[in-house]
Amino acid sequence: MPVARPVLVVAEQLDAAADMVVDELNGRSVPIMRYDTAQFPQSLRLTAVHASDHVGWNGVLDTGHRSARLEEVRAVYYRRPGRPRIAESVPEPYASWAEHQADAALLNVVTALPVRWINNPHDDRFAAHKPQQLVRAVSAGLRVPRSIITNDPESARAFARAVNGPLICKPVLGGRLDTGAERKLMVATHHFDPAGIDDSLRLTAHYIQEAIPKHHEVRLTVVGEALFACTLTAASEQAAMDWRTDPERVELGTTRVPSSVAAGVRRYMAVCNLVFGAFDFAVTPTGQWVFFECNPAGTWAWVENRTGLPIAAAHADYLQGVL
Amino acid sequence: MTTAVIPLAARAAALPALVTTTVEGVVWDDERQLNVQADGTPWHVAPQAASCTDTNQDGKGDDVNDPYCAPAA
Repeated sequence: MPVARPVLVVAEQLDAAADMVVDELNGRSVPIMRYDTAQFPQSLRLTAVHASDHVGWNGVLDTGHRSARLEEVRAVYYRRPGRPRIAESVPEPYASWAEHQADAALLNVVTALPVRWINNPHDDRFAAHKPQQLVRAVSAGLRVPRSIITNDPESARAFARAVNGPLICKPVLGGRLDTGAERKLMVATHHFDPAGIDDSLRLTAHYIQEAIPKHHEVRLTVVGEALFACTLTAASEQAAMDWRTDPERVELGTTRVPSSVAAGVRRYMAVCNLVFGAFDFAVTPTGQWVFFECNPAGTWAWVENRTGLPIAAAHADYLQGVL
Repeated sequence: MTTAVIPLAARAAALPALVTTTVEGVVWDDERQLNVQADGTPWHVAPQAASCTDTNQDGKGDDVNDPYCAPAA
């Protein structure tokens, strides 16, 4: 009896979504090899060979506990793993050089595998950034907030006059601010008062949008053709602005996706070559869905845990090849 | 001397909300290739923090974790 082809799961070790998918695949007896790129090269061995007249890399990935032949891999679940870690015995600048070699080699050998991906990191990068997302969302037929990205105070004031209504400001990119305190700070979506615009806006890019009136928000998790819509209904002003800042005052539920929104989301996924996407929408009091962003590597374990939406099973279906 | 100035948007920086999740007693299970709690149940069934910018629970905001960081890539 032939041995089933393995699924590679590439993620940081403490990643609940990866755990859920692994658990689901284990239950289906699908062989798995899971690793974090941070294990390479110290505790992950890569040997990849390319022939002169045969397409594709052959070789092995081996953690010492599990191994997989590259040519036998059936699918890859890739969730932004860590960066390669070079032995401390290697001094600079050789350590940085070695890290870049390791990063580029492992990333690009694995992404050259002609298999099913959730998501290929080349596509993840293409789809990860908000300014590009707005363009693709509107192209796909979705509505987005009027937005400006600027470091020019007068342009920001002119935008505020044109909107003539409430505004919000959000970071172009996530990440934390390390002020040296015990915990790092976060810049969440916040109310933006144009009267407060000053020269400090010139210091970097600022992302300002019209505030969309919300009846509730939707975290729409997409896996292939499957759409899983989780409603987030805020019970505080803070949660209504950015539900991440007051998660105890957010009620979760499920809902159906209007067909026009579903069609737009599928067009968006297709143009970005994504299999997985975590979309954030506002639903206005009149029922209109407004696209905020789509994270191609967003969290969803909490959605499945609290709503029962079968997101891990959809991942397993795709990776196993039954969808 | 240059006066330190904080960009307008960054003045809204605040401590992120703490969600009551824990990894105490959670260990890696090499056989199952996932994390388990002290009682042997999978960690993923425990409450998980909600975020749209993290991939895992390290609070780093992983949309800055660009897989193309290496200049050689």
